[in-house]
Amino acid sequence: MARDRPEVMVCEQCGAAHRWQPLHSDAVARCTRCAAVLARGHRLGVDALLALTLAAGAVLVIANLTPIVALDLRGNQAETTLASAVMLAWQQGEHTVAVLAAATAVIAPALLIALRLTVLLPLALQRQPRYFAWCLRVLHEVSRWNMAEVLMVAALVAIVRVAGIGHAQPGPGMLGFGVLALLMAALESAGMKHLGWRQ
Amino acid sequence: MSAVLVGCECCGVAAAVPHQDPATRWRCPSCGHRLRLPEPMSLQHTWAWLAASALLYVPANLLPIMSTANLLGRTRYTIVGGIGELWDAGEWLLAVIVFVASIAVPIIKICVLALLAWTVRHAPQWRRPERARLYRAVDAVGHWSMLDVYVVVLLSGMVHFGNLANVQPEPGLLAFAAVVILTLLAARSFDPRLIWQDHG
Repeated sequence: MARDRPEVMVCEQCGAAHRWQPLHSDAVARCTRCAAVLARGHRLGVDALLALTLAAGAVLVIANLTPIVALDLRGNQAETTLASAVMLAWQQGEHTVAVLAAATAVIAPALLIALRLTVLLPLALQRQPRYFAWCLRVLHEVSRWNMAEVLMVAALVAIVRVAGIGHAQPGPGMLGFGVLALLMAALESAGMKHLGWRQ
Repeated sequence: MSAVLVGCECCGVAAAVPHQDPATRWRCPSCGHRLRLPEPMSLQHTWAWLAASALLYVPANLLPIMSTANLLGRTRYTIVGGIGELWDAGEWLLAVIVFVASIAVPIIKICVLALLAWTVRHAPQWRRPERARLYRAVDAVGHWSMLDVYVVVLLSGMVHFGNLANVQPEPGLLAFAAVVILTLLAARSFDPRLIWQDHG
């Protein structure tokens, strides 16, 4: 399955062809015609990527299971996790909105992590990953629908808006979504395509 | 017979595809992934998504997206009302963020994509690098509009103390969520390679 690195790269944004040149780490190759990012010099190897992905998986679990906000209203206390908020939206009859929120804040990041693990685990064990092409394709599509970073800002806004009603405190889930957003951004820019090429 | 050079989205290999029959499905010679050819017909999809999102943008902004209730009664908030509340609370930075994400981004996105789709046919040569950059910018910020949908879901999840205090989603939220998804689909359906094609 390991392929030679292609000699010609085509810009996905405009279709211009470029001859491949090895990149320094930290270097970013941009399309000469439309200035879109063609490739990045990769500092992270399989092990580092796997570590980041596993960390993102752990943080995702924490972010989803721990309360995002704790609210105190004259002695009545309530802790809200994302799952409980989505469930409640479903019960209130907002099915579409509940499904959308779950798909973009929970399922999309979980799928991104799972797909990366499907490729990275065999590579770390020096086996050939199966479904490499399929995983990359789905990753490409799913990354559009991952909105974990938006959820963190939304939680901030929600805390401020609720201040008029009761005493609200951010919980560990909120920090979790912040860290998750950072890890996902790091993974996204590290890329996966080059792992299929013969080193 | 002219050929078009297509980069495989999956493995990065460049493949030359004879540009003759749009119905044929071409696959990457290296990894077998389906190659995405530039499709001039995709503009019609973009226009359709754009028309639907522009239509729903009106109720999304006019209808209340959430309501808060306490013993004194029920208050309904539109998107603008929610921003006003943040501003009054002194959180002007968050108010600006929500204004940009919920009101400015969707309408700018609709206008920019309409401009991009129009220029493909009517002004193909005009400022190509700038148009390419504009598309990437619009595609990158689009999902921030989801902000208000999450806010309402979180608020109604947080505040449910029966008659004492509760927050409920209102019909405008569905329209607003639809605008967000439709503009995302519109951006996805637009093929930026069309910016660089010459139409005779």
